[in-house]
Amino acid sequence: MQRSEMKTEREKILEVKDLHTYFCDERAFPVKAVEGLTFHLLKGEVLGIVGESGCGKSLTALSVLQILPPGAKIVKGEILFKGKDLIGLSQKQLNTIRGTKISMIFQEPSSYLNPVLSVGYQVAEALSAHTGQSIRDAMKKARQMFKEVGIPDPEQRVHNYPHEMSGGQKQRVMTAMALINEPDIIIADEPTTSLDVTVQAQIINLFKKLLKDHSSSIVFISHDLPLVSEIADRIIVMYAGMNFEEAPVDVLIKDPKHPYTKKLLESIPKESSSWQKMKTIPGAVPDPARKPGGCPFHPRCDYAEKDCNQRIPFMTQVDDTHFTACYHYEKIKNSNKQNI
Amino acid sequence: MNDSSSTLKNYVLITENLCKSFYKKKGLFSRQSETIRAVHQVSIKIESGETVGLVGESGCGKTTFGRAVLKLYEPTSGRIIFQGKDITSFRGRHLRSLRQSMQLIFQDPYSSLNPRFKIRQIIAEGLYNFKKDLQMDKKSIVSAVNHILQKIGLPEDASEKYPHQFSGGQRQRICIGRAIALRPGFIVCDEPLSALDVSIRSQILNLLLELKNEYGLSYLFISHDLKITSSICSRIYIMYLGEIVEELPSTQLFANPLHPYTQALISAVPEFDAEKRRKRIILEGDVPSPVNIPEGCPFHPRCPKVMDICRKKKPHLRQKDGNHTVSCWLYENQRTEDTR
Amino acid sequence: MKITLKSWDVLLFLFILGSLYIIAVFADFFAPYHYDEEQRRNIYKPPDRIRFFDEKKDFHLRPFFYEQKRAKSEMAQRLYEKEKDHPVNLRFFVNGFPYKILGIFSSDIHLFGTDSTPFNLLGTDSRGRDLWSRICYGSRVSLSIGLIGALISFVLGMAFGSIAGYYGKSIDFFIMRFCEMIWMFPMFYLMLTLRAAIPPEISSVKMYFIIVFIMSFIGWAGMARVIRGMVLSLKEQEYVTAARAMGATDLKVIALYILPNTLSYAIVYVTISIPGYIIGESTLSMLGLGIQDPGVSWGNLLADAMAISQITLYPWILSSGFFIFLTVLAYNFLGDRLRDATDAKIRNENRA
Repeated sequence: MQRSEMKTEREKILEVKDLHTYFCDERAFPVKAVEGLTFHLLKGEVLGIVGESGCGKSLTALSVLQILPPGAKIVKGEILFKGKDLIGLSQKQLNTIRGTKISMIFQEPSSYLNPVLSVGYQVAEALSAHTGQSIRDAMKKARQMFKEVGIPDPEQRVHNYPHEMSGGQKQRVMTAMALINEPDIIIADEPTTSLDVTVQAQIINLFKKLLKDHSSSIVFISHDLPLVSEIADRIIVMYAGMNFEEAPVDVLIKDPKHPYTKKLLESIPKESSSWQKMKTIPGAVPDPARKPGGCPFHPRCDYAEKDCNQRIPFMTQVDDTHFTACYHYEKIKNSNKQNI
Repeated sequence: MNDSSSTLKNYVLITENLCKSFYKKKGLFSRQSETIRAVHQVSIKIESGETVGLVGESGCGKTTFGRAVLKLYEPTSGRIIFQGKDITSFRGRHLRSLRQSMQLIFQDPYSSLNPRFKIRQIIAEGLYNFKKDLQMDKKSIVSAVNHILQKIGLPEDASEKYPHQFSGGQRQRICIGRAIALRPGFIVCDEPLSALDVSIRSQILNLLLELKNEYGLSYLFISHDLKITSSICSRIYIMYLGEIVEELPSTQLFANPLHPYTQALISAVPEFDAEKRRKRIILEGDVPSPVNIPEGCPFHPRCPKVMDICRKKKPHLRQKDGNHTVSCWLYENQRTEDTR
Repeated sequence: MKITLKSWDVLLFLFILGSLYIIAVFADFFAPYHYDEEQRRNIYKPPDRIRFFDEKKDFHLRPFFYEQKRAKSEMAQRLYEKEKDHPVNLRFFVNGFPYKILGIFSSDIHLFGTDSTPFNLLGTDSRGRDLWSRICYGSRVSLSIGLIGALISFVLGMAFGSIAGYYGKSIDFFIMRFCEMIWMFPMFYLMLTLRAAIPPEISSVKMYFIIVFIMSFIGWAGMARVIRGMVLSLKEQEYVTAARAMGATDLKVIALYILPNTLSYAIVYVTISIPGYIIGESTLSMLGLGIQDPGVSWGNLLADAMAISQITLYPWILSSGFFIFLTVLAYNFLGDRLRDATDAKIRNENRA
């Protein structure tokens, strides 16, 4: 409870209200990729966004920076950064925010690094583009950043090209690039998905260390609930473009209030001596273009009742920090509250 | 191997010192070619009806090994004994007839299905190839396909559809259906879950279990996910840079891992439990490329417990106790001291 | 941007090509005269202009033209004079010389014609042969040579390219070096050399096949190289490995799993290469090395138009050049559009 008291004091650095991002094709119906998402990020907090493929978690991140893929459009909603709405700002105004105030780390670092420029130059360029510093000065800072993100021998490595580095190193370079302008918010979209387990552990460790040293807030997006639980303070569970549950980490994993979260936690395999049948979530993740009506999870839900295909559930408050988008959440009993 | 021809029969697959290297031109003007040592002296045994795990990070050669076992790659040296027959030198028609009894399930259900084939054609691929051997006509193939569709939990009308009309989970079911169509005794599962959504994985695992029980299948389960592997396999081989560094029963994996690499792998698995996280071993560096393999123990540059001998001499797989084998100098010394 | 094949410009060029091929197939019907019929009195006659209004500006529903008669004074500039008081009505679906539709059904109906006075839509050539009729017949050679040539090199290219790509190693090495040897020579000289190896006095039909052979022999190398590249990447695809794991023979893997996936690109390549064959044939024939009189092809028709003095005096003899231009333009345009469309499709597939 101490924790929640602390949080109310902290300022909300980012607030997303009722965000709707659609893919609009001239002929077909719009694909409602993100539909009415609301969340906030406190200063110095790590917010985890968990969801499966196609749930709109990456698009949410891109919506915040308004670097949407072709065809996607923010149809409705507010994105308040320090109380100021980012939607409707001109490209020029947005550019003063992108990279300096809010920066992003992507899943596949190799496709976001320019293969013909040295990594040091690219990191320095990120700084000089926003501050007007000369590349030479910026390079000094870049070396410092390389050291900070744990790249060995930074003096030499700044001259390397992306292809001379491993995946983990490249992700460190991306992190350096995201951090060099001391942003208020870092959005990390599946930053470890393309990496090996041991390298993933390195990067998570790095993030934890950087959190201590910098005052940045982080939005950490992943499909891996255990991974997010390691680093995040609060978790949002997304499904089919909607927010299903929002709670502090330990509450969410010990006492989930949404049937989807509960099922997700149950489907994580347990150690066992023989191969046994596992609990499953029937069906498949819905295609964003063909979402079921009402609660999008109802065809797969054990707790579904008649009204679930009628009305879209809204977030209801369970307690002061725990929200869930299920009308029947009281029915859910967590027998394994203690033993996770 | 001559003395125990009767025991040979119990093993569906035995590899002895299997090696696979690739050769690549060093540069545009270079006449030298470099050797990529993907798999080096790997000996494994799989009993019939058993599920054996092969775990390692990307680039460790586990996929190459899986394909070399099926003779999709020609092994550089070593022996493969499948169902008591030495198939290392099988070629042409012999090799083709072997395909009926050994199959492969791929990691990516998107690229492993021919986009131009209907599901009916995909599942019947193997049946058509062995139409004569199986004495099947068109009618019996159609009914076989319908039977398989039912087995893998797809509706009968799926047979006239194309792969792109299915979700990832359903596609993986189709891949599994294709693999079991010829009623093989042994299937190599090459990371069958890693491209799937978390909520779908347990469905696929349950399907694999059902099929195993019904047809008495043996699996070689290749994965980087220790949790899943340990929950379904009876024994697990840990692979690093193309070599087996440890073999252990899955019950021992989390309880008593011996090799420092296994220990690090296990500790890198994301956990809800903060207690387990605290004991994390963070490895330095990345998996080295299989082109320049370090001298001595291949793991020594990253090993937290490295000793002098590790840099000079290569350890050998030694039986620790019962069916726990490890290749590390830490235990070799102990053993020699013990015997003294 | 959405790239679609159903835009108006694509339809327009498709329509043009379609009409040209219909003319080629039913050349007997569209041509009022046989290609070898000489109108001795009408040498280098300019095109007859179809009219609807007479001298008094009165409208006639039936199109007519003024007969052109050879002038008495044979001055170089004006060989012909219009007899304005002598309008001749143009008639449609007239009976003319007999022919066989598609070589089967006998007929003597022609699209248009006159009773007695000759009508030359595009004028006549040095021997008084109707140029429009000759272009109709010539299109048979010129248009089919592109298709057949491209088809043969398509088959050869697919076969050799896929074998080289799939088996690799020394087979790949030999096939590719052979392709490069063909490429090493300038195409035009290679064509001339190969042509020179063949005796000059052979029948038009034989000559036709020899030209097709020469050009596909040169053309398949490019195709093979493209296909080889695609096969190299396709054979690493997992569904190809799956097919091998399923016990499919090499032939089956190539024919069912690899080649169909190169097809869309191969079709684009073929479409873009067709103009090369048309131009190649035209060049050979124009130089008198291809189809020779009395046989007709568009290139052969241009042979008349080699001297600048003749072009200035009788510009209509260039009209077959216009048809070559139109065909080449249409193929290039459609090929480009087809490529855009397949690229977009490939991009979409990769994204999905």
